[in-house]
Amino acid sequence: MSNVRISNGSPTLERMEARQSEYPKPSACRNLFGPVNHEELNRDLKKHRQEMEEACQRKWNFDFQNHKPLEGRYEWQAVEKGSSPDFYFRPPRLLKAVCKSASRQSLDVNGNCQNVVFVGSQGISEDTHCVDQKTDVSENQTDFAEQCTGQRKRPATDGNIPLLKIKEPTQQKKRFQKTPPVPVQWSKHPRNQAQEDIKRKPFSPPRCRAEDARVLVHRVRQLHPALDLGFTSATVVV
Amino acid sequence: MEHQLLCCEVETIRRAYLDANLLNDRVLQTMLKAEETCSPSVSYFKCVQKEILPYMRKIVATWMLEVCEEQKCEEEVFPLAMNYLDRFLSFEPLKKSRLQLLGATCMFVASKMKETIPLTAEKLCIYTDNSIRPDELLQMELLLVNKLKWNLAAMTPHDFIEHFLTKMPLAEDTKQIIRKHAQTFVALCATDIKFISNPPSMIAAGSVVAAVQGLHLGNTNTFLSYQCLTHFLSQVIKCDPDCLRACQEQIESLLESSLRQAQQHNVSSETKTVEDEADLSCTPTDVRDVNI
Repeated sequence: MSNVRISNGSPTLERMEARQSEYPKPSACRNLFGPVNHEELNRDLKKHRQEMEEACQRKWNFDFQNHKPLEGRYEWQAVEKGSSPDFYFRPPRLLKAVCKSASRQSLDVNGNCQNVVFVGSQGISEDTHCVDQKTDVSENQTDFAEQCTGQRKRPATDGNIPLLKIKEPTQQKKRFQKTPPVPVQWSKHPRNQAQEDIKRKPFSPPRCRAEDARVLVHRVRQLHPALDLGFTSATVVV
Repeated sequence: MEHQLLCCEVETIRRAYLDANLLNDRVLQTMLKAEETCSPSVSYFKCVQKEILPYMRKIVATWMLEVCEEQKCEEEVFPLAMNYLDRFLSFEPLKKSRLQLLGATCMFVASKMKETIPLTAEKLCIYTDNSIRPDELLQMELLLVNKLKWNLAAMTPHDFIEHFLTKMPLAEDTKQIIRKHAQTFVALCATDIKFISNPPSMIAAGSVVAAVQGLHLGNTNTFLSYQCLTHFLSQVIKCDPDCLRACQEQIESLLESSLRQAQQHNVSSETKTVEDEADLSCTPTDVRDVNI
């Protein structure tokens, strides 16, 4: 193969060739600043990761590792699967594309597909953004994605996991004071039993007025494997 | 040489057409505002970093450009990656031995932002001579995007170049050659610490002027004459024409010194030298092929 020459005809001003799957040339493969202390690096990266996890847990008062809501600003509730559009459940399309695309298992490491969708109460509306384009990371719900990370390789059964709904009662607090929310029972294995919980309890409609309600849906898939998000989506009613 | 096979089947890359609706003044004004929010701190070497020195940025930047070139990345990937790198270093003190990891991670994320088929983590690790591992790169990615507050769609000079060209009354092939040359200057500027204080719009305008000057297009087209063009572009980006000229001169002197260094280096690889010499004769085109 070393004799095969790839011709791009006359040199174009625009780069048009696709990426070659060949291995990098040795000339560009170099270590610039000496050996990396992997042990130390991994320790530091782990520390950073823990900090991010803690910040995320504080922010959303949700224990992402054990998939349990905590006390705090948001009130988490399980919601019925059918009450949200199906794109929160259906498996990511990307997986298919990845399988088809000519190359290789390396996409596992490469992939890092990160999907974050914000949806207005009307379903998919102009409120839908990609997080990449967010420039506002100040104190509002849009920086949800800022520190949340999830499992990318989700099991195929993910579609069966119910959505979690969280409420932020700060503004409407007074209105709701007289009717304290019924606490959701969290089983030890919410993945398997949450569905049953829902069957037993009828789904209670959101208590704030529809026009006030903004539903924020977050679909996160992995950036790193350590965080095991038991859920795939969360719905926020503010 | 004996027999060689000539393969003409080249997989071409698929790109979307530019959206004409996005190349208007309203968008340009928004971009001029937005570029301020994604700019790195000018003084991070002094104020934040303890181990990392300006010359190390040059080393890592040169390597990154080489990788982007070899992997035929989209042109924006490299400047965007450098924007991430500078912004990260503006917040976080980093060990020298991890600078390459950061550089690789920045390319990894920038490539995902701009390309249909992004660079893989393994490939980037190979380019570091396997001094880092894919899982470390993924962990670093998480840290990077967090430190950048997920604000990844930073403006690059390339975004502005398209706007400038749209506004210029020129034939398409003239625009294409200006674009190509200007993009080369942009990449060159991204490797140099002196340009860190210039916003992307300024780099873009300076690069376009330098490209037109280098191509001697001002002689035949009055619109492209030096005075006229600098006046026009400085109005578009709302800056003083003198600032723009200063930036353009800085770009030209950077090019000159880079070429001089490259000649001393005497590039050894077979194909590259031929291209370089051809370009050097009239105007420096592919500075990126020069081993800076």
